[in-house]
This record gives sequence, C-alpha cells and structure tokens, in this order.
Amino acid sequence: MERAIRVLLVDDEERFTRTLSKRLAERGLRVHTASSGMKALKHMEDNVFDVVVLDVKMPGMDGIETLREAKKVQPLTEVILLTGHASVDSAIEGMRLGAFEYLMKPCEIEELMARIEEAYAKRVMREEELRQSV
Amino acid sequence: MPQVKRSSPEYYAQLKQHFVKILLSAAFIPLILIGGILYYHFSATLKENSLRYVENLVRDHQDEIDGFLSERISNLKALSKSHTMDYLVQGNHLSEVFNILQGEYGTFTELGVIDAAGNHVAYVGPYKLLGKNYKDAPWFKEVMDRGEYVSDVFLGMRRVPHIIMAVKRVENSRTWILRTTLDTAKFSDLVESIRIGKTVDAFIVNTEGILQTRPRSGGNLLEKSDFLPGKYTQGIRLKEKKDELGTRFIYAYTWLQNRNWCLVVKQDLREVYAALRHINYVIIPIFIGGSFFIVFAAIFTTRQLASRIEKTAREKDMLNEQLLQSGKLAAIGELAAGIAHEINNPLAIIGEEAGWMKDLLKKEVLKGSPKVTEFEDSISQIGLQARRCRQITHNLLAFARKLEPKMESFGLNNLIEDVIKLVEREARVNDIIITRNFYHELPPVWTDASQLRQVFLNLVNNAMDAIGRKGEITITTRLGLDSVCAEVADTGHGIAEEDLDKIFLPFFTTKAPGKGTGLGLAISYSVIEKLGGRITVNSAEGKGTTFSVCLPLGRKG
Repeated sequence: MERAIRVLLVDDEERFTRTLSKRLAERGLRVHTASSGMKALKHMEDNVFDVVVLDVKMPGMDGIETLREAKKVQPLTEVILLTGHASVDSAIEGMRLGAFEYLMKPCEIEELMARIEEAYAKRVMREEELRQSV
Repeated sequence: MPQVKRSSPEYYAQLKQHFVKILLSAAFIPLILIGGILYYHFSATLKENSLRYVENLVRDHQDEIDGFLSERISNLKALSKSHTMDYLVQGNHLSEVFNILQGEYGTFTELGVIDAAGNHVAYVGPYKLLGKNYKDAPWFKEVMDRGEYVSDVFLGMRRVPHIIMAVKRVENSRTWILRTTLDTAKFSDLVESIRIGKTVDAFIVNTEGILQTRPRSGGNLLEKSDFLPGKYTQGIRLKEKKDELGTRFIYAYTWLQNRNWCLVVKQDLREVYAALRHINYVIIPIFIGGSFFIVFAAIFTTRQLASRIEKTAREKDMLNEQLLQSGKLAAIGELAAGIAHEINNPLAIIGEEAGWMKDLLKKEVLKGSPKVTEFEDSISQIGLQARRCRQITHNLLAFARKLEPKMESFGLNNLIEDVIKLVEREARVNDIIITRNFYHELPPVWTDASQLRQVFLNLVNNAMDAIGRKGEITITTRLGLDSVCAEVADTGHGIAEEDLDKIFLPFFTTKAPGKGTGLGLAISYSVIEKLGGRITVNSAEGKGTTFSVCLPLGRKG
C-alpha cells in the first residue's frame, strides 16, 4: 500500500474511539476520531478521509443523519456503520443511503480491518473510474 | 337471575338450568296444549257420534216395533170387523180364522172371543180358558173404555211371558171383544236384533221400569231394570248414567206409540272410547318418546351452548390475561432493550481495551516476560467473555423487538429487495447469483416489516450457507388466493429427509458448532405464525432447498 488509509472514527464513547484508533493505527491506518456527528462533519470539511467508521446510535445527530451529510461533503468516502443495535431496519436505511457495510458492535478488529480495506479498495476503484471518465 | 360471578361454575349451572327450563317449557306447553285440545275434541266427537248412532238405532227400531204392534192390532181389528160374534162362536170358525192369522204371521198363541159381560165365549189356543170371566180384569175395563188394549208383558196364570192384545167390536146393539196373546219370543227377537257392537244393548221397559224384553247385558224379563224412563215424553231422549259398578253408559230412549213402553238402547261408553284408547296406545308411546327426545335435546343443546359460552368466556379471560401479560412483557422487553443497549457500549470498550492489550503483548519488549502467556490467556478470556455478553445483549434486543409487532402496509418485493441489498456483496464474494423472480403486481401486505426482513435475511443467509461457494438463489414472489407468497430457493446441499421435520425446532442446527445457534428458523417460524402466515420447506438432498413464506392479504387489526 503506497499510503496509509485515512480513517475517521465517530462514536460518542470517547474511550472506545481512543482505544480503537490506537489499535487501528497499530495496523497501519491513519486514524482520526470524533465524538459526535457534528464534530465528524467538521473534521470532514478540513480533511479528506477514505473511510468513515460511524456509530449509528449517538446523541444529537445520529449515525444515519451523519451518513447522509457526510455523503454530501465527501461523496467518494466509504462509510461503515457500527451499531450495538442488531436491527435490520437501520442497516437497510444505511445501505440505502450508500453505506458500504454494516457491522455489529463490538466487532472483531480483524473483521473491521478487512472491511476498511475493502471499502478503501472500492473507493480507489471509483476514484479511478472517475478520473478516467473525466 | 341472582347475581353470580360470571366465571364461576355456579353461574354456568344456573345458566344451564335456565336454558333447560325455557327450552322445555317452549317445547312442552304447546305440545300439551295441542295434545289436550285434540284429545278433548276427538273424545267429544266420538261421544257425539256414538250418541247420534244410538239415537238413530232407537229411531229406526221405534218405527219397526210400533209397526209390529200396530200391525197386530190392525189384524185383530180387521178380523173383528169382518166377522160377527155369532159367526165366530159357532163351530170351528174361530179356529179357522186363527189358523189364517197364524199362517200369515205366526206370532199369536191364542185367540178368544169375550162378550160384554166378560165371559170367554169362544177360545182357540193351548190353554183351557173357555168360560173364564174377565169382568174384573183391568185390561177388560180398559178395552171396554178405549176400544183397544195392549198389555205389558206378564206371566199371568199360565206362568209364561205373554202380551195380551184386545179390540172391542160394537156390532149393532152388541159389544164384544176379540182377544189374543202374542208370543213374546218373537217380539223380543225384534228388539234384540238391535245389537250392534259388543256393548250396544236394546230393551223395552214399561213406565215402572219393568223389562218387557230380555236385555243382553243381564236382567230377566219382567224384572225391574236399572233404567227408569220417567214420564212419557215425545221424541228421542239421551241420557248418561253410571251403573252400580261405576261403568258409564249412554242411553237413548223413546216412548212407543202405546205410551206405556219405552224403547231403550244403551251403549257402554268404554266401547265408545275404545277408538280413543287405540289411538292412545300409539300416541302415548310417541308422546313419551318425544318427551324423552325433547328433554335429551334440551339438555344436550344447553350443555353444548353453555360449554361454548364458557369456552368463549374462558378464551376472553385468557386473551385479557395474554394482553396483560404481553403488556408486561413489552414493558420488560423495553427495559431489557434499554439495558442491553446501554451495556453494549461499555462492552465494546472492554473488548477494545482487551484487544489493545493483546496488541501490546505482541510487541517485542514484552515478549521476554515469563508470565506473558498468562497475560495473553487472561486477555483473550476478557475478549471472549465480552463477546459472550454481546451475544446476550443481542439476544435481548432481538427478543424485545419480537414482542411488539409494528404493523404497517408494505410491499413484499421492496422488502425482499432490501434484504438482498444486505447480502448481495457477500453473495458476490462467494460467487452466488441472486435471481429475482418477482410478481410485480403484488398488493401490499399488512405486516411487521422489520420482523419480516429478519425472517427473509435468515432464509437468504441459510441459503448462502447451504451453497457455500458458487450457486444460485432464486427468490420468487407470487399472489395466492388470499395471500402473498415468497419462495427462497437455493442450489445448496439440501436437507436430509430425517432432519426436515426438525428444522423449525429451536436449537436444531446442522452447522458446525459455534457457527449457528439453531434459532434462526425457529424465530422465523414463530414470527410468521404470529403474523398469521405460514412457512414451509421443500428439500431434496444434494439438489437444494426451497423455503416458502405465505402471508395473509386481509388487513389485520
């Protein structure tokens, strides 16, 4: 991989994002964290991310809302939804809005890594397509 | 009805009693009324007919008897008028005349001529009556006064029942009497011929009630009858009377022309009512049988009705109970869901912390420490237990969602499309083609979309598991008569025949240990059943499996 994948971790549980980011960083990712949807969007205005890992259930702006807005800010960024809620409904909603994947929280770090890499591959592919079509 | 608690057994016993009473009175009162009225009318008609019958008998025979007597009198009169006294008393003349008379009718026993002084001056007959004087006999006076006389039956000096018949003849200045006696046997035959039926009896009595003919029912000639006709009246009279044994009889009687005799026809009422008795032999068993049937039917229907009511009430109680229970469960579920949700975040953190520690342990610096394996073991236990807790919270959440179906109108095709979206990527990775074979005019179903998605997700996931790598899943929707159906067919390994009837049982799984909980199909089954639908399976080992789900079209609740 020529460059580190840029990941934004969004969760209202700061300890969770902190530790997870450390673990992902350990695996070679460039990880930023945000503790709310608003903060995440703000981050996205300043930085480009390849993959956003988004908790669905958050106080204030929830994951689905954040996903919708994030897709407006950076349409090419792939979003992986994380939730403690094993609900098919929000999964479907998320998939409709263009999320790349939907994962149950807590999930195995290997699983998350694999999904992030897949999401990144997709983003790279789409970037490529876009560049060719221009 | 006194107030008894609705669900108590006494209430139903009372209800049953009440029903039975109403049913029985509704059946029996009209039955008894109709029966009684018919019986009354029938017996009245029978009696009436019988009265008419004896009345007619009396009328017919009255004429006959009157005719018989008046004919005899006329004969006698004709005889007295066609001969002079002198002629009759001479030689064999009386005997010749008697032979003519007798030859024609044969009812006379003797013939005699009596002069105005009462002397029997000529006589033909079996007795020695010539020269006898009748001056003081009551009949002599009567015939002298009235011109003719017919006696009652009497024994007289000869001790044989007979009837005296006499006519007066005034011949110029001389008065004489032609007298004869009648054979009562002949006369009795005439009366006794009025015998129709077993108990119709006919006889003649005089004003004192002395029998002039022998009644068949007992009693002898010249004895006093138990029937007293009373004074002379005209026409036919009817009377009902009990004898000393208490048997009831109807009597029809009429006075004969001579006004001394009364013709009586009597009939035993038992015979009159015999027809009624015959009918009773048929009707009473029918009535008793019918009554048993009515009672049985009333009790039977009541019992059924009551048990149905009881069942309904019980079901209602149960439903209320269930509603209450499900309300409680919903509350508990909500609480559980809330707790599960709150616990999920700390669990995630615990898991991540343990994971981070594991990451750190891999670093070179710590590798040399002798206790490092202990650490690793301990940390993996933390991770393992955190995952276990996660399984519990997920189950809790799944359970909480199962409790409250959220009904809405939803298109089955869209719903399945959503599910396909969730699995499409994984399917592509495993070289599985998902084919949509949708019927596009499907009407929306009233259902719990969220739970239904879970069901189809389970089915599609199972299908993918069954295929493993490379295969096809065909999802077909179609419209049934009153349902919409969806089929999920795979080209996987199929289900062994002996497992087919177990697949919907909870905790039954053929997947490797740790891969499946054995709950997916069980939950799907209960969800579909709760939504009023049906889930069935068709499988051929080695060829594939088809699950089909049908949901009712009718809009519910």
